[in-house]
Amino acid sequence: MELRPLERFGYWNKILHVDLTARSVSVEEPGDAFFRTYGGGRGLIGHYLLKHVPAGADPLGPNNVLVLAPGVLTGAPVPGAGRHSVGAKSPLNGGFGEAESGGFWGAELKRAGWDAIVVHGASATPVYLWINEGAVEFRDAAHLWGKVTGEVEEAIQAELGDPRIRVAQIGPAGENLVRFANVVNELNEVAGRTGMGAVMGSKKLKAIAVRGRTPVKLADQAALLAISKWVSSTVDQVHRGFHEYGTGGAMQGKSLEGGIPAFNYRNGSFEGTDKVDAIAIKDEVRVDMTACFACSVRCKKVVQIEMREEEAGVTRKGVKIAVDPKHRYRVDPKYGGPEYESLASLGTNLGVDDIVTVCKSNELCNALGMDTISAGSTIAWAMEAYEKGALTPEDTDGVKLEFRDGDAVVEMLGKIARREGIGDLLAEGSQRASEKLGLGSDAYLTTVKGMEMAMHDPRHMPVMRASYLLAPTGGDHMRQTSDKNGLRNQVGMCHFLAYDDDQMEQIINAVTGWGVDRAEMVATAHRGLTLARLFNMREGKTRADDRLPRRFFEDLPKHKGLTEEELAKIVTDYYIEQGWNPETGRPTRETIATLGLEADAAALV
Amino acid sequence: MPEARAESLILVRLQPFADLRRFLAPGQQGPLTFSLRPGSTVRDLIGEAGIPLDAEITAGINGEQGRLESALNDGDEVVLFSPMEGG
Repeated sequence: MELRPLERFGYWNKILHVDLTARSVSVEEPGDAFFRTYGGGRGLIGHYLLKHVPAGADPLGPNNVLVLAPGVLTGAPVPGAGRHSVGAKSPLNGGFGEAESGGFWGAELKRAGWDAIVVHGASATPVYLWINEGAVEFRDAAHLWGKVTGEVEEAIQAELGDPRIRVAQIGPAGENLVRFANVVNELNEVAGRTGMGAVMGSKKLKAIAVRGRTPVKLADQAALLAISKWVSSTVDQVHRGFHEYGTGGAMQGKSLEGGIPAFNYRNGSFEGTDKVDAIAIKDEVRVDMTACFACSVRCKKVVQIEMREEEAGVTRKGVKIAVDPKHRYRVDPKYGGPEYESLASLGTNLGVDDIVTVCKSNELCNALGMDTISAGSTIAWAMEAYEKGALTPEDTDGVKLEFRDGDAVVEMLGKIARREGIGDLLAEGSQRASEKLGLGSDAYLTTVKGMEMAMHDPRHMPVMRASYLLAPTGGDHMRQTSDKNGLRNQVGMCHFLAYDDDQMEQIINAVTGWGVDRAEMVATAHRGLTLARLFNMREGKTRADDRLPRRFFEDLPKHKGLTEEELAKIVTDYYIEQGWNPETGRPTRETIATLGLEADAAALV
Repeated sequence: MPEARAESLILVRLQPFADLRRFLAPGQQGPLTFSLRPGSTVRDLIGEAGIPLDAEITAGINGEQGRLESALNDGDEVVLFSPMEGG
């Protein structure tokens, strides 16, 4: 029996389908069971990719779909409930593409009365969507094409006459189909990984502007308020590290332990770590901290650097603004500041100890719309290729692509976004670049399923092994592979909130009124992961893709290299745990039936 | 008559980092200074500071990686990190 709209909490039962080819929209009302089954986020992405993307489709062609999916919790006034996922077939890993973002855009979409957007086809000319609550408009974006994210957000808010409009967009990198281009919202929140920005660019969709004014309905407002109060009154005890530093406060510890990515994952320690970690950021260049929707942890850094003393001074809040001692760069605070992954991928892993270039590099990635992890790791690969002579100064247009040179990083990022010179090769991502280059350059790749691994070394951190081996997207560090952690990517909850299982259950029930129990939470996550697995297998991925690159079989000074045997055991154990065939990892008929995925799995043939 | 002489203590400074800072009092920045008996280890220091040992901890002593059993000397600067964080 369908619930009447009055009894529906947390979601609206409205999916917006946009056909960019025909410039038309339609509304799907899939029903209450749908939302309870998939949760949102990864669950919806898996469902719609299997349903609408033909097997073998070109990720950059019109048959791919782009899914923007908050979760049932997104937009509820509780810390962490501000997340949304972006998914499609990935041009980087050739399979399941999914990236998650925070900020406000996802909550705004829910407040506009929508649970998700599915974008089909492709526009012939640059276009942006304007979603003003229930009204959806296609607007010409020719005047925005080629512009950086900061300019575009301002222009859209001005032309639509409302500074509170939230914008999710691609930068020039997405327009130029850089394979690791991202989708940026609020200029410092990004659906970073797997190249979702390139998919959006291939559809000539520049931006999605949203304005919503209807609060998400809650089943038990008092219960939710109690949890919000718990977070805000315990920040000092429970979330202190994130609240004071954001991420990146433990980098010196990683280096001390010999496990920080350095020089393309070779050294394990880096003497300049204390110059580019979150503590240095706070001490030298940070001017503010900002928060996502409804969150009191407030873990997002804002940095500002001016080129000269005369231009610096103090901020409105009385904070002294930093100056580049070498007078090279300005870093605009509207682009936020570098999180841990960026501090490592644009800093320690490149041997760079220059906090100014690290901040500038992060700003450029946000302005141009590129994933800092893949961009930084592709540059790391290129630097090792240059070091070993596989790339020459002639190849790099005269740029000395050497470790420790932060200015070269800044220059490369611009070239990559514009596909200029060597940037055209690097824009393909390190794996494809290596296939083109040859010369043994595959020996120093750090990719899994074509996507560069993030900045946690699996030789140092055993928990990362399963993450990188088995994440549906490839070199993903978010340890989503367990049925426990996986849920957050479906319901739209941030991983940095230290809610235990009891609290997650309380939150889900306070928002939706569903009365879920632990078993159902586990099953929902299991379903999302199994859907992703089904999609990957349909696109030709096999157990052979659940492996780590050769670099991680090499010893670090303080940690031994991994072995095939230990990794094979992790993979097999995981398949068994997930109810997939222990040899091939194919979800069994029983598991598909238990999870109620027969209809989705029928799309496999 | 011999002077009464207290066993001399060692002075050690402790700075917890990142989320281990939750063991500092609200508003406290650190580093904290402790007087310990000579031969005290990092484990002893952590106990003095009231930090439970089940927290995943990396210890550095004067810039080098230390172990929980490492003996401390007068004037040592100890840093504590929990390596798992960040995305």
